[in-house]
Amino acid sequence: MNSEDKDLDRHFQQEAEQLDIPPSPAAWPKLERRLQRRSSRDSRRTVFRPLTWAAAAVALLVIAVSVFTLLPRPASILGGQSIELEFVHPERSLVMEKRLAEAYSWYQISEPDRKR
Amino acid sequence: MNENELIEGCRRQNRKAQQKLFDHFAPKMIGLCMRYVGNRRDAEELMIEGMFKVMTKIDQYSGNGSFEGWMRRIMVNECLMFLRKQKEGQISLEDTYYEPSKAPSAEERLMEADILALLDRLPTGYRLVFNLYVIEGYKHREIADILGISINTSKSQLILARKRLRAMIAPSTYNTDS
Repeated sequence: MNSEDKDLDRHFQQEAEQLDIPPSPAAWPKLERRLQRRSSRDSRRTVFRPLTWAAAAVALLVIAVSVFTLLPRPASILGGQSIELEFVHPERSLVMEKRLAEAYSWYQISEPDRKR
Repeated sequence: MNENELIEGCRRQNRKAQQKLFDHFAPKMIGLCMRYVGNRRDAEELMIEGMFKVMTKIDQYSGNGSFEGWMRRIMVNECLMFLRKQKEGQISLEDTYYEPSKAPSAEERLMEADILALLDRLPTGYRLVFNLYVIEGYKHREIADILGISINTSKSQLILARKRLRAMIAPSTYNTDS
């Protein structure tokens, strides 16, 4: 870069530094209106955002509860048989034990006869 | 109220601080925008848009470096986006020499110390590179990235811009030796 270029650059830098153009009287009110709109939107957001989140959480909870309660149980999937049917009643269990014991004693008694 | 107090006020969205900041910087920022877009109405619109961004994104200013420099970068970006939208910011890859329609008279040459008038007579590509390099202080690599051109194109556009400006103004206007 030669000295003429340097002088030219310096001239433009100095002129640009001093280049102040006053804005029109309408400029600040215009910007202020935009800032006002922005801040009122922001304040609406700060109020509504927590409410929105709370509403969403409640809705999710309701959905989860209703899904849990309305979901078909495994028993109803198996053609209406309930799980309770598979539960052996204590009395029935005693009867079964008694029968098993009788069968075993019969087996023990009949064993020598069979060998014979 | 000093600059730091103004910035703090703007962070709190204090309207008076915002107005003071506007009053202080708006004339300089319109001047900057004028150098890029060349007309007052667009320059003021861009300044307002830039100021709006400055005031709403002021939390992004880290405090390192000058606040005015940060603000200027926002304004330059606004101007470049505007020119891109206008499709005037496209720089021809060919460094064609643009012949002015009329050679300025000796009187005009003396009177044209007004840099806005001079810059306005440059083709957009020359004007952008000259503004970014000489006045804003960007490097050719940065200019190439910003404008989507090669570094060599940026360099040649600068050489041609200087050549054109020298042809438009009398050396006595800027030569410090004379």
